[in-house]
Order: sequence, then C-alpha cells, then structure tokens
Amino acid sequence: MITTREAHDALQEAATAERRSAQAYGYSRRAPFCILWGLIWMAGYGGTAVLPGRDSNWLWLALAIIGTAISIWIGNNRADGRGRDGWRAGLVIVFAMAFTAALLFIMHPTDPLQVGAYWPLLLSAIYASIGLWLGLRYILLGAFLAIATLGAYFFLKDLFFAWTAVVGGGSILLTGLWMRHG
Amino acid sequence: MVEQPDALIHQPVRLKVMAALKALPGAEQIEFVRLRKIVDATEGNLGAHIQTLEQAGYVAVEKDFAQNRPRTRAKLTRTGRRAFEDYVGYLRGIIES
Repeated sequence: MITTREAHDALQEAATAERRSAQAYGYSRRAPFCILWGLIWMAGYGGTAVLPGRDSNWLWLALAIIGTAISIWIGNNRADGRGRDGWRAGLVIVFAMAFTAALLFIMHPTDPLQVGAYWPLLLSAIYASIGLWLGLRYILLGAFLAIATLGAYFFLKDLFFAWTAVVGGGSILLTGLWMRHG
Repeated sequence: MVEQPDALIHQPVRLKVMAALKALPGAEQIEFVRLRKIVDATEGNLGAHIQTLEQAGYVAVEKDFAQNRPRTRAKLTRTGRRAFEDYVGYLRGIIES
C-alpha cells in the first residue's frame, strides 16, 4: 500500500522529470537559431571592426537577409518534421528590425558605438526575460551579454566591435552548442 | 480510477522515464543520452529499465545511425501514455482521499 507521503513524493519526482524533459526538448529546438545568429553576429561585428564607415551597413543588411532566410528554412525543415514555424522565426526578425529602424529614426544616435551596443543590450533583455519561462541558460546568456557589452562600451571603446564579435557572438554560439547537447 | 499501482511504473527510475517521455509532444522521440541526463541514471541501469518498459509495450525504441554514430531513441506508446495517466490518477487519488 502506498502512503500519502510516498504518493506525494512520486508525483513530485514525475513532475520534475517532465519539466526537465520539456526544457531539454525546447533547448534542442532553439539551439540551431542560437548557433546561426552567433555566427552572423561574429561576422557582422567582425566586419564592422575592419570595414570603413558605412560599408558595414551593407554587410549587416546582407547578413540580416541571409540570417532571416536560413532561420525560415530551419523552422520549416526540422529533422522531426514537427512545427513548420519558419514564418514565425522570420517575422520575429522583421519585427525586431522594424522596431530598431523606428527607434534609430526617432533617437538619432550620433556614435556608431551606441548602435553597436543597442543590439546586444536589446537581446540580453529578451534572453533574460524569456529565460524566466524557458530555462536558466537564457538568463545566464542575457546577463553575460549585458555585462560584456557595457564593459566594452565604457572601458574598451577602441576594441568594442572586435570584442563584441568574439565575446558577444561567441557566447551566443557557445550557448547554442550547449543547448544542442542538452 | 485503478485499484492497484502499476508495478512497472511504480519503480522510481521507470516513473521518471515515463514522465520524461510524456513531456514530449505527440510522437516525439528522445535520445537515450539526453534521457539518461534527465532521469539521472547510469547507462546500464537506464537500458534495463527501458527494456522492461518496451517489453510491456509502454515505450517504443528505435535504433539507427546519425552522423555515423549509433543512436537510440525512445518514445511513449499510446498504451504507455494511458498507463502513465492512470498511474498519476491513482497517486492523486491517494493524496485526495
């Protein structure tokens, strides 16, 4: 005969296993997007560090189009054949870019570093927020990204873009690989 | 509600395996390696319990190769899902009674 205490403990063990499994499943589905955008981030900020002036804008435009197209493809061609939601991934990126365009139009930043710091800070806030529902790894990534960005903005101005390419892009890429391996 | 607990699911590791598989949507499979981390069991221990659940028809196991490496994946069968729900109902009945 099972006691009330044993029944309670068994239900709690089952609930913990369910939560961990759902979280691992979510990580594995979102990992490819992190890996992709980590690489794009590295290429974009790396390019900005070496390209003169406005040439980097064209690089970012090209990378954004490539990233959006690949994100849609990933969403529509999952190995498990589930959830053809690539259009959602594409729309999220379009919304973020439209929001940013409107923001920059209104705020008129004068320093490229301000725009350079904007994206990692926006992303760190998003990661930390969704981490409250989806798991600790997003919160850690968000916190690390914010600290790395602010640290470079205030103390490594000359190396800001190179730093953000390696540390910012690298942290997103590594988090993606971490998520992929459960 | 069932009168007796399902002895197969009642074992702690098997309970966790069933719960972990139940959390996956639809007919989704989970890799053995990932399942081992979730239920916190050794390879041999988990393998034996998976085999027991497979023989009972609760779990379906698929073995193949991915990127030239052997891969074992498991998923809950319809019978297994129903058995797990019955078991959880049984436990809830004990707590509520």
